[in-house]
Amino acid sequence: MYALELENVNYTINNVEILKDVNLKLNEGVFLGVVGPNGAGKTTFLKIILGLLKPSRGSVKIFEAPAHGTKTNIGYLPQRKQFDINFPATAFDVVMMGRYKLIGLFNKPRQIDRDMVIRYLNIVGMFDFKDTQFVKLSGGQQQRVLIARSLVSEPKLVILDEPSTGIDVVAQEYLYHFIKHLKHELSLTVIMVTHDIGTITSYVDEVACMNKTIYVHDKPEKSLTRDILAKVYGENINMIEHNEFCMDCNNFRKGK
Amino acid sequence: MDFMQNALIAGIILSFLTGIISIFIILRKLAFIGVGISHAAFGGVALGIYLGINPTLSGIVFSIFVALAIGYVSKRGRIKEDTSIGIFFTSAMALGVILIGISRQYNVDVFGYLFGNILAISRSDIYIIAILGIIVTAILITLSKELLFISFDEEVAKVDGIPVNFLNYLFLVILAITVVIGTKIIGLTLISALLIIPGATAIFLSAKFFKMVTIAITSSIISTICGLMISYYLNVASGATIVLTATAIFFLAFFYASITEKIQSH
Repeated sequence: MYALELENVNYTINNVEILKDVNLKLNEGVFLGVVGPNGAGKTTFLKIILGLLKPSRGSVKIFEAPAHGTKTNIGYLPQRKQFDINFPATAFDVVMMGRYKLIGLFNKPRQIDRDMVIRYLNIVGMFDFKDTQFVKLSGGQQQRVLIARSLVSEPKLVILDEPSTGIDVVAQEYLYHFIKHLKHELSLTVIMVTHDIGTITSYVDEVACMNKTIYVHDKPEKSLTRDILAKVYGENINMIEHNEFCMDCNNFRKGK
Repeated sequence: MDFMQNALIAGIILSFLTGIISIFIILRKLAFIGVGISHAAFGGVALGIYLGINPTLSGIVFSIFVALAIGYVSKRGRIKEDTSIGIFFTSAMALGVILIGISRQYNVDVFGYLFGNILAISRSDIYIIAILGIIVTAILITLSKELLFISFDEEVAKVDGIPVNFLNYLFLVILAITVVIGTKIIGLTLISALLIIPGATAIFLSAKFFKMVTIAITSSIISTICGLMISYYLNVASGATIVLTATAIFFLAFFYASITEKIQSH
C-alpha cells in the first residue's frame, strides 16, 4: 500500500506558482528525505499533505484516502520556532497535547493518555524532564519532546519540517539517527524536509529533490548526483563529501 | 450601601472572569484586541441609547459583531490583525460619537459607560452578569486544554483536527461579552486593563498554568475590591481606582520576581 500518493499537484497563490505538477508515490515504511533550495515549495508541499493548504489542482491520498475532508492521523513536527519564554507547560503537558485529538473537546485526559505520554517520553529519552518547563529545555531536548508529541497519538505517517534547525552538528546527527531508529521501532513512514543534503543520505531510504516540482525520487545515491543537484540548486554548487571528520557523528551513523 | 453591595458582587464575578481570560490574552498576545473590542463596544452602547433599547444588550451584540469582523477581515484579507483592530475600533468609536450627537442625550449615563458608574448597577444587572459569567467561565474551563494548545502551537493544533477557527471566534465572542459585562463597573475605556494586567502579574509569579490562573483571578479580585473601597471612601471614579490598584499589584509582582531572580543567580 502507498502511504502517500500525489498526482499532478499544483499550488498557486496570487498568480505565483509555488508547486507545479508534483507527482509522488511513497511506499509504506519508507524514510523519505525531501531536499531543495529556499523557496522550492517544500513547506507548501508538506502543508498540502497535512491538509493545511488545498492544492489548486491535483489529488493527494494518504493510505488511499483523500487527504482533504478525511480525518487522518498524521504526526507533525513543524519548523522550529521561538516559544514564549513564559509559556506555562511542562514537557509532559506538551506531549499530552498530541493526545487531544483522541481525547476530544470537553473531555479530560484519561489514564491511558497519561500512560501513553509517559511511554513516549521514555522512548525519546525525556522521562526525567517530564516536569521541567518546556521552554527551559535545550533546543535538542525540545525537539525530542516535540517528536514525542507528534508520535503519542500513534500515527503511521510522520512529517518533519527541518527538524535539525537551530541544533548543533552533533545533536543534529543524533536526531537523524534517533528518527531512523524510531522509524524501525514503530514501523513508521517518515517524510522529512531538510537542507542537510550531505548528512541525510546515511539515514533516509529515499530522497526527493524538489524545486517547484519533484525532479527525482529515488535512492539517495541515485538522487543526489552532481547533475541533479545542479538542476535543483543551480549550477554553482560544490559537492563536499561528508567524511569522518566528526567522530561522534560517524559513530551515530554506524549505530554505536 | 445597597449599591456598594451590588458593585462588589458584580465586581467579583467580573474579576473572576477577567482573571481567567487575561492569561489567554497574554499567552496569545491578544492585548491589543482587548483594547480594540472594549473601545468598539462604545459604538454598540451609543446605538442602544440612540434606538432606545437596552445599551448593555446592544453593546454585547455590537461588540460580538466587531470582534468577529476583526477576526474575519484579518483572516480573509491581506492585512494583519492589529491593522484590522485599528480600523474597527476607531470606526466603531466614531460611530458612537455620531450616534450620541444625533440622539442629543450626552448625559451621565454615557459617562458612566465610558468610565464606570457603580451607582448604576442594579439587581437585574447582577443577574445578567452572574448568568453570563457562569456560562463564559464554564466554556473557558472546559476548553482550556484546547485554548492552551492553540496558544502554544496553532498550526499543529489545526493539523490535529482541533477546531482552531471556531475556538478563535468563540474566544473573541467571550471577550466581547466580558467587555460589556464590565462596562458599568469599570467602564469601556478601562476594562482592557483587567483583561491584561492580572495575566501579566501572574506571569511573574508562576510558571504553572493552573497556578497562573489562580494568581490572575486572585489579583483581579483584590484589585476590584480594593479599588471599589478606595473609590467609595475617596469619592473618586471606581474604574480608575480598580485599574491603579491592579497596576500597583503588577509592579509588586514585577519587583518581587526581579529580586528573586537576582538572589537565585548569585
